[in-house]
Amino acid sequence: MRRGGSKVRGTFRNDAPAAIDCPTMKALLAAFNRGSPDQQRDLKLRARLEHAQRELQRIRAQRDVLAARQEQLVAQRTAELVQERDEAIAANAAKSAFLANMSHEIRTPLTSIIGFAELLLDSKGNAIDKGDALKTIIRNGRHLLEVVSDILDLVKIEAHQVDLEQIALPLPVLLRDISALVSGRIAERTLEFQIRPHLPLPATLHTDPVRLKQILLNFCSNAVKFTSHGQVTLELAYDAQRRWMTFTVADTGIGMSSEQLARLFRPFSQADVSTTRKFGGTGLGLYISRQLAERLGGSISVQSQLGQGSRFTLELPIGANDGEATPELLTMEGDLIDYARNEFAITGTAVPELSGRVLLAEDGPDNQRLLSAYLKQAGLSVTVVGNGRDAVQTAMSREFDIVLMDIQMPVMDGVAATTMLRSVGYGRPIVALTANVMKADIQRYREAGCNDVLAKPVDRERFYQVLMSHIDATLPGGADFVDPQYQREMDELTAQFRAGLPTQINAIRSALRRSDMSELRSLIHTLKGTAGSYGYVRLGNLAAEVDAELAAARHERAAVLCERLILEASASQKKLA
Amino acid sequence: MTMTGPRRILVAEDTFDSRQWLVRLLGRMCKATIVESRDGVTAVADFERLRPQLTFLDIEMPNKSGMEALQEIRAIDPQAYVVIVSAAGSIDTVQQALALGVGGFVVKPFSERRILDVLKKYAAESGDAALLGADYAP
Repeated sequence: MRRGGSKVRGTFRNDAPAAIDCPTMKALLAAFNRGSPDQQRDLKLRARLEHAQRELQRIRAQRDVLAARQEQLVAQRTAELVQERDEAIAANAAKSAFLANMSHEIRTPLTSIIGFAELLLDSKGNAIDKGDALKTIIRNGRHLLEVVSDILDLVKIEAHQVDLEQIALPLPVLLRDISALVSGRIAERTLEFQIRPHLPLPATLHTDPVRLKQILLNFCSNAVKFTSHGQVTLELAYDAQRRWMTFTVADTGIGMSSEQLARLFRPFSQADVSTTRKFGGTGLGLYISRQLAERLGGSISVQSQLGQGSRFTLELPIGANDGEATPELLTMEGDLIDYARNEFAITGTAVPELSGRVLLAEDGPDNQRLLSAYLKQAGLSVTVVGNGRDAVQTAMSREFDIVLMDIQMPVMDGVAATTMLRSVGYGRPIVALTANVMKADIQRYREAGCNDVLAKPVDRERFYQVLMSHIDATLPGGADFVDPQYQREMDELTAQFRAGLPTQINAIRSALRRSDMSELRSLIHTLKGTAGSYGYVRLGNLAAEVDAELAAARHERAAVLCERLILEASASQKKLA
Repeated sequence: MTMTGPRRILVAEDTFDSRQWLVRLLGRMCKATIVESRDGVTAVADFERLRPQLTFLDIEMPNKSGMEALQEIRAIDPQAYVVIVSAAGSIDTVQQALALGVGGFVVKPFSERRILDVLKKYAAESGDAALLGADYAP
């Protein structure tokens, strides 16, 4: 019936094709359509029925589509929820695993540090090799520092608190620093580190030098870590059109499988847990590097084959923001590499030979001893104070070539002490020592009057670099004494002082005999103020000591020191006579 | 009221040796006329009369202490640039002097470079770039 109906409908529709145009055919068609009244009613009913059926079918189909779509939506959403839940579980598991791992990562070096330190203390110098034990302690301490830095970086990145700068960085300096650090790590391995520059390269990169070095060092130390022999190379190429640099670190190490590659940039996950155990590291380095690269406007990619080695590539815009017209290009490979080598030779681990006096304001006894040892090794004499108040008093009353100022100190902190010293016209260099080296902190120290900032824990090489730069730059003007006329005047004054000294000493002796403490104090005070200026440094120092004892009303001690002062005075008279 | 003419520096210090040392040194370092006072009362009078651009004031002086003189000088001219010189470098004294608005505080025995540092600070803060002689200019 449906099939027949559709035939009828198709053939006899009123809007029949316009091709049937002859009048005879039209008349015949009209007669047929009219037919008998029964036939006509039948046809109409059938048409309506069919229409209703079609409508029903359409609605059913629509309902099926909707139902299917709804089902699909539900399934999709369910799948999404399942995925989200799985991801949350996975993230949570990863974080738990990370914390467990970190705990392990922190405890392992600590165990070595504490263990070997105890061994050193207990053994009478024969049970263990002291040098080995100390090296183990240092190595583990450094590793621990690396772990802590990575965790802090991660926290900063996740909290969007990474401060980035754009500073001009000479390419040779970057290469020097990288090669110095990498060479240090491969010293004991059958491994070669090469820099392959594709010239021309820009002389200067405009980027965040600290973060760029961090990324490249991460690449290099991974390469070194996972390559037992062969080569690690750093390739450099420059796209002058875009002003982008490409750095590629390639190694001939163990490489990675595609599954390992897929997990590579996820935080908290090294290739697998056993990798962490075997090779150390936090598994955060590459994640941090990628985040930093993206913040710097660049990107990181990696290619690797199991057993063949890996290639890590960093692409980075290095043009200046203010659109420098034509960047200077380096075209000679020799210059680039030679410069790097020369500088590397200089930045060896040698302790510099310096001379001068350092005031170290630091409250931690361990740091006091450590930094004092560093300073003494370089030939500097050290005075240690434990708080900012003493730092101000000591800096003002004695001569120093540089002040190392811890920031967090009791009684008066380093910022307040520095501010105070600068307000009274103290002009010697002050270097802040601090564990807080966020950009805003450094700004605050500089505003207070610090010339430089040393991050804690103190890196020994940088420590010496900072000392050298400030002690050299501020050598007291030796030229001050050159003027002969001035020298004559000063000689005259000194002679007058020397001539008057016996009278002063006699007055002191007499006041001491009479136990006239107020007279004695006034005399000592005057001597304290003048002796040093005329070159009688020891006499001046003794006078200061007597003055301090008198101020504290320790008269017996003052009397003893006074006798010594009188002896010193007559001794120096003879010496100078 | 500020007097014009050459730059004047007042040195108020009772001890002969210290005063002479400081006067000679300042004469060497600065292009200025140096005036000496030997006690606190004279120092205030000399300040009022001469209006020096820069004043070095000892604390331990007869007749009137440097701290008292400092207060009177600042009452005469709140802008007065005063550097305290003292053998007593206790932090309380330093804080007291800073509260009275001194531009510098040098603990005796002086060293040349400590005096030079203070002069440089004064030169920078007062905009007096020509204060220091060529050998000492920053």
